[in-house]
Amino acid sequence: MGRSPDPGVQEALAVLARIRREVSLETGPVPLGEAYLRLVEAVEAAPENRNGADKTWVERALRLYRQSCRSARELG
Amino acid sequence: MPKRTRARLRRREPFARLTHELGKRRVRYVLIGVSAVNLYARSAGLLFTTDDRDMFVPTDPENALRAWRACEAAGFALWCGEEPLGRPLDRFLAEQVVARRALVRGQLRDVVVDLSFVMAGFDFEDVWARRRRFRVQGIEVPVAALSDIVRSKAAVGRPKDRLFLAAHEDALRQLLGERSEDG
Repeated sequence: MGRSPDPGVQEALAVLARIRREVSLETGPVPLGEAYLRLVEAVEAAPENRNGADKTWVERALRLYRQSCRSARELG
Repeated sequence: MPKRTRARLRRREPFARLTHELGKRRVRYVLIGVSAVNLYARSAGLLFTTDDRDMFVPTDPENALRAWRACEAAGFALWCGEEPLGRPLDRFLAEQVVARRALVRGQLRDVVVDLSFVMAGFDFEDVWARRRRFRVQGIEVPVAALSDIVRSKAAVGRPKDRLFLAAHEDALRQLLGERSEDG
């Protein structure tokens, strides 16, 4: 019998399943909600996103993630 | 080039080597797409995986030529469609590619870079004027404004864009939640 799934993984899978249910998969312009655009503006204005901010950690994190995926092995 | 500089360049990741070469040749480009969105993330939990990096370049043959030469100097092989980009890399070829608005792809191992003359709904100069300048491995990388990137994805609205926009909105809502807890 396998281990019970990590709660974080279950939560992520639930979010993905909800998005998949709610999002139409046709092609065509998508209206963007005001609330979403306000969030986008807030992210752009965040101190960590000012000109000159060092984003080296992003490349490093993605590289580590890819390495983890490459070394994954199926259990059982 | 001094030995120490060459050694430092070799240690850099392929993408950093490429941005270094692009900067050296004064190539005008802005990073767009999901890889650009990732640079606005606050934490690793908000990163989206993507296999390629999209660069928006102006319809300027000289600039395109400098971009291709930068790719080659960084070790990237260049492709146009299913074929290697023609030879020689010269002004004539650049004019043909620009006239067709053809996408040129650079590849070095698992790093893929798409040089595109098109960003749906946007002109290069407008995106350039609003760009953000981040630093990656000590190199300045011009990145499109986050609002320009999401608006462009919304304008195209392919299934993968729709899924991205929904997941991104969800991620930002979580971020806002984190912030209100911080405060």
